[in-house]
Amino acid sequence: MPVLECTGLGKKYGRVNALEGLDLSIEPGRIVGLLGPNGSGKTTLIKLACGLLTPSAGQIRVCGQAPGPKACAQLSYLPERMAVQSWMTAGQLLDFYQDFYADFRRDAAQQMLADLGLDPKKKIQQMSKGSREKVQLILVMSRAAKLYLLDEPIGGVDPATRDYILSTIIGNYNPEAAVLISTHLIADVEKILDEAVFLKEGRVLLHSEVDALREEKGMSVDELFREVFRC
Amino acid sequence: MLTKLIKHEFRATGRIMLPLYLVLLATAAGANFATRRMGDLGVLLVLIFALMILAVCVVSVVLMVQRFRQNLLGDEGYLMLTLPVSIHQHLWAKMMVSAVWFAARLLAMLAALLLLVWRPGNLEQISFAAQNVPLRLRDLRELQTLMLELLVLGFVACCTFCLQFYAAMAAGYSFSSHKAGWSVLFFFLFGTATSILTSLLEFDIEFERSGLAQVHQAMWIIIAGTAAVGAIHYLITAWFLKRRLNLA
Amino acid sequence: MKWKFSSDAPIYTQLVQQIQTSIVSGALPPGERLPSVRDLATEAGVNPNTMQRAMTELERDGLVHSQRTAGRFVTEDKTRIDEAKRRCASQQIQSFLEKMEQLGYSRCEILLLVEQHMKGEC
Repeated sequence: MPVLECTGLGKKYGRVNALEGLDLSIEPGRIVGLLGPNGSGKTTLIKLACGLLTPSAGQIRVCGQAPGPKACAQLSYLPERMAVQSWMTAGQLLDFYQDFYADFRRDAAQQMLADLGLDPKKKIQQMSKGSREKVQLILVMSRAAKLYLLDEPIGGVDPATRDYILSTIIGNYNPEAAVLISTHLIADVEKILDEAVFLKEGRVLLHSEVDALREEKGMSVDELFREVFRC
Repeated sequence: MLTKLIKHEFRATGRIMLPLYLVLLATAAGANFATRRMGDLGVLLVLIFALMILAVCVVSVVLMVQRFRQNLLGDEGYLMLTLPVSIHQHLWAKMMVSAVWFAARLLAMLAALLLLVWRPGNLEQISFAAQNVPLRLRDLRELQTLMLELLVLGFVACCTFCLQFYAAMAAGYSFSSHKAGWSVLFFFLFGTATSILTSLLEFDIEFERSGLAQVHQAMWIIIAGTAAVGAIHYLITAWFLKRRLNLA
Repeated sequence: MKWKFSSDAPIYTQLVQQIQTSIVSGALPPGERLPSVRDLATEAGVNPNTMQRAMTELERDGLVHSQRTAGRFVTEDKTRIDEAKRRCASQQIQSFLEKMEQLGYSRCEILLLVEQHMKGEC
């Protein structure tokens, strides 16, 4: 059973179509890049999967379930912005996640905090922007979810941390879980992807295995992206 | 899950409300001391005490509104609304915790007032009064039912009060810009609609019984009416949060 | 092991090539136990499925073999390794020749140049 399945999915904001007739299926065990220029519908798709938006047309299923509390228990979502409560300390946030998610692996989270030199007793509001993003990513990656939805996970961090994040995603690999990474920093994530999905104006332009693409086109996904979306 | 939400909500609100109540009680004690010993300066402290009472009232309402706006409709909503928790559980957790803080505010203000007017020797007077008030058993039972009814009314009224704000914000924040402006507009819109509807529904009730029975009957009608207003606002809030959520 | 990837070829073929080079050069000696696919993938910064695919390819070539419980090992079959080494060498020579021909040299000229170069160096 696919962990994420969209059929004829559409979303309108007023009269503007953010997504239109989108069909997409993501199987477990895959790391998938959701790639597209700004405004192509990447975030909209992820929000629909989390139930933060309601589709205007079509269907979206997470592990066979419509968006809602049951689907949320299976998916781990990293929003593009800071969503943790900034008066809490990193340690309190671990408690919070442990309270609400049965699949939270506290020891993994503590290990990652230590690896990145983050103090669990420090309040989020006292941390630098980079550190806050790291804490949020640690919380998301410490869950043993079926579907990880990462919206721009490496946008705001330095290259060293970027490498740590990518190796965390690889190290966390589970054949029963899928990871969907939305980004425009394709060159950085390309090596860890199984599949690439190109979104353009709310539609799937291309969905293929990364190695097949490289073989067929003789260029990297990054180069292909630049060619396809040339302005 | 509801209990976990409530626990978390208390932790989030308690860090503001508890210190505020402590400051209130401290100013009350200070004002008490000052009025007895310090003459003119005492007046100033009583003034500060009055301001504190006002502050507590304002803060508890502002906090109720802010918690909903920030925690569910702001950036924090990205995390809160993707918890494996239903919208209904979110709403009940927020309402119940607000109701408890409103009740706590009442108690804290009462305690502060007592603290303000307390004089040495008051304790004997109270125990003397308590011994000399004749209280029949039947009155006690009536009093208990009335207290219960007041308690229910208090809770229902608190929830309805919160829901009027929630519904307005849930509706206002479904727009992609001028969210706060729309919320204010909706607040007055819903308020006007409610008062028009209630005035339309106004009817005379023939009371069959007299005396206390009549009071009880009236209480339950008021409770039911308030609950109905609350329920409508609840449905509006839940609908907007479920179907028209539009986080910035 | 150091990993480097170019953009024009599939990642898994590049993985196969780089592991193969380590084996034929002796950096990974015969009989050596390989790290798990996940660890290798983390080290190389690539997708575990891709690393798995590279391993399957190497197994098919007979350069590594897996033992159900003990893990994956470099082959102890010397002839296999020598074969692979010769294959690598001929690939390198092939691509060298192609580049030289692009520059406009004939085969004879290339041979002469190589000989001169070697003499000059020694």
